[in-house]
Amino acid sequence: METPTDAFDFSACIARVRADDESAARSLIDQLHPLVMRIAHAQRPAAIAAEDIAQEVFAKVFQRLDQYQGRAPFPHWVARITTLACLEHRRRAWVRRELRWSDLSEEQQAVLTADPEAAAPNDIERPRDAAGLVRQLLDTLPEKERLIITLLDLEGKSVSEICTLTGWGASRVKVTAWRVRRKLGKTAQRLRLQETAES
Amino acid sequence: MKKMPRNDPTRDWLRIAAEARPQLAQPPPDEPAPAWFATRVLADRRAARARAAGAAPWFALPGLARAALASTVFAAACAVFVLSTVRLDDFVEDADLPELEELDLP
Repeated sequence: METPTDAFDFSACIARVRADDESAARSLIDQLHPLVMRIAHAQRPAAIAAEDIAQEVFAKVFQRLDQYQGRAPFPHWVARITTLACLEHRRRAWVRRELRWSDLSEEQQAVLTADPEAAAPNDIERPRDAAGLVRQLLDTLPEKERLIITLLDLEGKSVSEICTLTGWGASRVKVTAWRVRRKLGKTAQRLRLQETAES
Repeated sequence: MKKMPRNDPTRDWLRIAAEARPQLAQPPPDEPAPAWFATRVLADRRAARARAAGAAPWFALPGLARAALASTVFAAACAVFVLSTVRLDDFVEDADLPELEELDLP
C-alpha cells in the first residue's frame, strides 16, 4: 500500500530546504511529523514529552541535512535519528532510576492504589494513567530488560517471536521476563508502602 | 492455569500491564506540527552554518587534509625532540681529541 510519505518527493524538497526555502521546510516537517511523533510516543521515557523529542529531532535533522547522502530513504534516516534521541533520553533517565511515590501523578497513583478485585479498569470514576505508570516503571530498568518486558507484556509477542527478534534462547527470555516481572512488582509494592507511610 | 499467590509481586505488575496495554496501543493524537517549527529549524540551520563559516580555518579543512596536516606537525615535533636529546659526543666518540690537560689552557 502506498502511503502519502511514499508519494512525496523528498529529494526535491531537501534540495529546496538546502536553498533556505521555508515553505519546503514546512512541507518536509508536515510529512515527517506523524512518523517522528509515533516513534517518540512509543519510545520516550516518562519524564519527556513526545513533542519535546520531536522538536529536538527536527532541529538535528535540519542541522545535519548536508550529511544526508541519499543512501537510505529519507524517512528511515529521520526514524533512526528519532530512535537514537529517545535512547539517549532513556539512558539519562536510567541514571536517576530511583522511583518515589511523589514522582507519580495522581492518575498514576490511582492505578497503584486500586483494588484489583473491586472493579474493572473501565468502571472506575477516578481517572487512571496506567500507561504513564508503566513508563515510569520501565524507566527503572536497564535497556535489555526493558526490551524483553515490553515485547512480552505490552506488545503481546510470544516467547518464540522474541527469540527470533533478539537472537536470545527461550530459557534466557523466560528467566529474564520472570526476574523483571518480580522486580517491577516489588517496585510497585515498595511505592505503595511509601504511600502508606506518607499518609 | 496455575494460580498465583495473592502477595506475589508479579501479580501486581501483570495487573498494571494489562490496564496499560490498550492505552499504550493508542496512536498519538494526529496533530500537525506547530507552524513555528519550520521557521525555528531554518534559523538554527542558518546559525550553525554561520558558526561553521566563522570557525577557525582548521575546521574548514576536509577530514583527510586535517589528518595529513596533523601527522606532519606530529612528525616534525618528534624530529625536533629526538635531535634535541642526541648529544654531539655520540657522533665524535672515536675522534682523536686532545685531553683537557694537554690543551694548556690559562
